[in-house]
Amino acid sequence: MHEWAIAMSVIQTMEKWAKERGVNIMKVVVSLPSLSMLDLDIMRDAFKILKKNTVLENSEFEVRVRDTDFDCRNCGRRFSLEEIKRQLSEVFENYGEENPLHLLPAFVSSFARCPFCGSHDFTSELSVLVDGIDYESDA
Amino acid sequence: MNPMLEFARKKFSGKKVLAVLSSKGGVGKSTLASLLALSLSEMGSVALLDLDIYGNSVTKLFGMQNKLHKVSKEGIEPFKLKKLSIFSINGLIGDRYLILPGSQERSVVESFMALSNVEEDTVIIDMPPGMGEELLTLTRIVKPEAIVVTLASKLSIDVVRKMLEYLKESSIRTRYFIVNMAYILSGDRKIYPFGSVEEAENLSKLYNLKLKVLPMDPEISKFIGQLQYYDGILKKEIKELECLFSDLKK
Ligand SMILES: Nc1ncnc2c1ncn2[C@@H]1O[C@H](COP(=O)(O)OP(=O)(O)OP(=O)(O)O)[C@@H](O)[C@H]1O
Ligand SMILES: [Mg+2]
Ligand SMILES: [Zn+2]
Repeated sequence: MHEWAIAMSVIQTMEKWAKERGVNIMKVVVSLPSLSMLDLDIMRDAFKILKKNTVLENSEFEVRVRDTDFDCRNCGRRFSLEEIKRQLSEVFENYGEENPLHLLPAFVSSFARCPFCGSHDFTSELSVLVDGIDYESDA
Repeated sequence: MNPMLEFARKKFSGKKVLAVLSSKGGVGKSTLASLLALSLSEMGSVALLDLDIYGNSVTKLFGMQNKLHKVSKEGIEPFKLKKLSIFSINGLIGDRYLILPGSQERSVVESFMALSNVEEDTVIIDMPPGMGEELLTLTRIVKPEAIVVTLASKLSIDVVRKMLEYLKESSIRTRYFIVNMAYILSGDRKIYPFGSVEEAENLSKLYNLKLKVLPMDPEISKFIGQLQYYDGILKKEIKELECLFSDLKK
């Protein structure tokens, strides 16, 4: 459900970015961490509706999902989401659709352990990212 | 570029944000933040945000520690107590532990503030003890007014002195300095279990702060889990933090 809020955050950020630079944005590429399992159809609809009556009215929004690698700060190994998926299935079962990882994927180290050493002490990039902007200057 | 940060900034811009702070733990931040929020909400709508990731106490004080926040199109919906809206990180995970690396603390606090559907113009924040990621993230999003809490003990005063120095240097507005649990009333006598409040008085003069000296109220322990029904001495004293209340009237 918070897909709308996330789309809004990107719109507001890009509006500000475009205004500060006096440019016209043609396209924005946004990437979401796969862990958050955001609904891409809802995201795309949200962008379509929220950009109306803004300077981004004619901008295209491409939304994609990116995989995340996790770095264990304890043993130094790197692992993928796939390798901790089984541990996380409990979270999805216990909390239902609005589970904490869907809302705040940064919670992940509380709910899973490094598959190599068992530590909760691992990090990853789980933000909503703007991966690319196509723009032209207004003049 | 950080959409969550921008979103959080926009959400909180123009709001009156009061952060209850102390570099010392266990001095009464959560209790006082909650009582302040309750008192202010008797005059108008107020939001209370619990940013203490590891020590969530606000929901426990109100007996809501097992409730989970609902999420709507607008974001995280608060727990409501009349005109008080309560948001807690605890309300996203329920009654279980959290452990986070520093970089994820930032992300959790930032996203939590960005995604909470805070409609109120007055926001009280319960902060964890100390100065770290949570304080940096809060002040990255919005410039709060700080309310600093201490005990009268020399140890507490000495730790809090450094926080006051930081707040001043960072131009974070601070008007009230609270010495909590300063005395126990025994008939007409006041007993000062942590020693005299003289050092606190000196600090408040040095930093030009209004000093508020609060008593110990043994009754308060009966209201953990139902603080909304507490109407004792601490609540009355808190209503005397006039500047905070007159701001709301404006
Ligand atoms: N004025 C008071 N009289 C009696 N008991 C109090 C008073 N203020 C706080 N307490 C009690 O002291 C304890 C610590 O209070 P509280 O949890 O509010 O402190 P805190 O500063 O938020 O702690 P932390 O640093 O862990 O977040 C609680 O048990 C609370 O009930
Ligand atoms: Mg506390
Ligand atoms: Zn490891």
